[in-house]
Amino acid sequence: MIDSSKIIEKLEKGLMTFSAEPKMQSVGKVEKNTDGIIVASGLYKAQMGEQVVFEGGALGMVLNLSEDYASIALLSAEENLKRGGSVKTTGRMTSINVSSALLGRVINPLGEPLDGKARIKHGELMPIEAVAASVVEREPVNVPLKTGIKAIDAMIPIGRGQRELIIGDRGLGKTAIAIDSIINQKQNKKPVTCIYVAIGQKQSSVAQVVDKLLEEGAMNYTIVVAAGASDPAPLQYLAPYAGVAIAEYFLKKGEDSLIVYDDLTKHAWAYRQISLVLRRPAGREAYPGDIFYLHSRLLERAVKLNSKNGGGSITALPIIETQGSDISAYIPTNVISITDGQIYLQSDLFNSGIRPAINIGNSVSRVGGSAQTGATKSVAGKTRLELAQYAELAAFAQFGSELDEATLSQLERGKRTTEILKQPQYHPLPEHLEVLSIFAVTNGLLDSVLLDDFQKFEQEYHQYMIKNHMKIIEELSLGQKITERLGKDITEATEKFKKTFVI
Amino acid sequence: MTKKQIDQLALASYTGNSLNRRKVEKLTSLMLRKDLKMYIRALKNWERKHSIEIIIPDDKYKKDLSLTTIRQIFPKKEIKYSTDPTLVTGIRIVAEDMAYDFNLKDTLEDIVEHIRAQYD
Repeated sequence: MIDSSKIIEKLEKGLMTFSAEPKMQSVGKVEKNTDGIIVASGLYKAQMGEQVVFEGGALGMVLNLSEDYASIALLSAEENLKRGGSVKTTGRMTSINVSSALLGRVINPLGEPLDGKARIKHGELMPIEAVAASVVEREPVNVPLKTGIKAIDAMIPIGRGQRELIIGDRGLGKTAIAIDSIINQKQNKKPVTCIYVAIGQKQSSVAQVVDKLLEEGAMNYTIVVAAGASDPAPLQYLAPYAGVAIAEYFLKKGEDSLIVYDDLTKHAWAYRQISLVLRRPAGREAYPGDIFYLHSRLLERAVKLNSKNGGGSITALPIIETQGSDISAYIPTNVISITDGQIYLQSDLFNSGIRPAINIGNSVSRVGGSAQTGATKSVAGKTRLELAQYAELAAFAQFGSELDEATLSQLERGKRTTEILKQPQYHPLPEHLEVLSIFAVTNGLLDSVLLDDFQKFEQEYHQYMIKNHMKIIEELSLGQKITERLGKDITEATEKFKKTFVI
Repeated sequence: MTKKQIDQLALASYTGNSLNRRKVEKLTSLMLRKDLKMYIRALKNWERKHSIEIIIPDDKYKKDLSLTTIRQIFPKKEIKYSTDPTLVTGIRIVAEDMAYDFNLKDTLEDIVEHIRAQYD
């Protein structure tokens, strides 16, 4: 229990630095309130994006400056807002208070806690809007960011500092991929700081995500920034920028972070709503003219800095929800052109039991092999091509004609490759087990295993290898290219296990 | 009518420093609704630019005000008074869009903000 005299002593010490000089502030008067956008007269010295305070203490952000008026987005609920009320500028741009104390917390885009725990410790004020790092400060992406999902790490590898879009219809597992990527970061010796930005989501969905992260022990290195469906549109608009401002705090310290924007479609809707209320000219699909800039300036802040500038990185996983699998719509095409690749989820694959439902043909990582270790590269190199060949053959085989042995074996191999790439949710795999599985299937070691037993086989196979062949596991964990000797050892161990595998 | 024309009409509505009622009635009877809105806004702007508002906690403090000093700082401005008991003591001057706070309420709010910024 803190003594009251100590509290008084602290307060007196704090007040020593207080200066009671008279204050001059730019003030305005509230003229109109339309759907969360306040039109205020005066405020001639207000800057674009400046934070303002209303009479009752509510915060706002200046979004439009015209000759006689300033349009302000209301960022928090204000019950006593009335016409003629005063609004003052604060002299600072909209920013968020960031410190390491944010790890494990759920906050709103203004930095206020939503998890019912203590106030966030005073840290550094990071600007919500900031210029992205320049070309000379960057270096090419060359360090892998492991998601723990075999299909992605093998064929669509993501590197630290990359922007990889996750795109698909509702309910296909976009958020699941992002959450698995976050959970998998605990495998690293030094976990990558993860930021999950929930934009326009249901509160129940955000609560489920937080619960899952807590259960898997991932909340220790994760920050959740939530602007739910019931929050004002300006708050939803600010949420991803608040998230990347937090990531930039860790970037300054030379650390790596992963940020998930879930999802940018709702972000675009929120910005459209604000722009229409501000009477900005509406363009295609009623989006404002700068809708591309909204996302490009956000995603450009994902960066891999060179060692001279700290060597840190921000990896971005934006999520876009399509309608009817239409990736040629306005917002999806915008974001596809900005990002360094996309992971395309398809409903046909999902319904046929292939989960994660990744369409390998339409998915790409523009960083490619630079973001893979030698081990993964050596086993996964052929996988994409083999799957593409299998897809062609499978269509041909449907006609029921007699096929030669080589074609039949290729079909069987393709089925097993597809089967090995299936993975249950919330079960990201460490790299050595991913390499093991893919090595086994691409080298034909699993050709004799029945398809129905595959998932069970893989699980028991992993347990067997960890228990009985730790040396192989340790060698695979080094991430180096698989040598001939190591390949032989894995083959022998796998054959031994196959004899003991019981259905 | 353009905005510039409306502004000129608003300026012409004044005789000296005060609004001429007859001129205003004549002008407003000739205006469309859209132009009328702009005209009212222009009048409000003019009023704001040519007056200052002095806010005091109570009317009894009016006699303590040094009007000479205020007129020296803000020449050619009409002075308007209003009361706000929450100021406790002191004065607040609002000139156009600048507010000058010399009152206890503002000082106390600053203290609270200062302490909040220092301690977690």
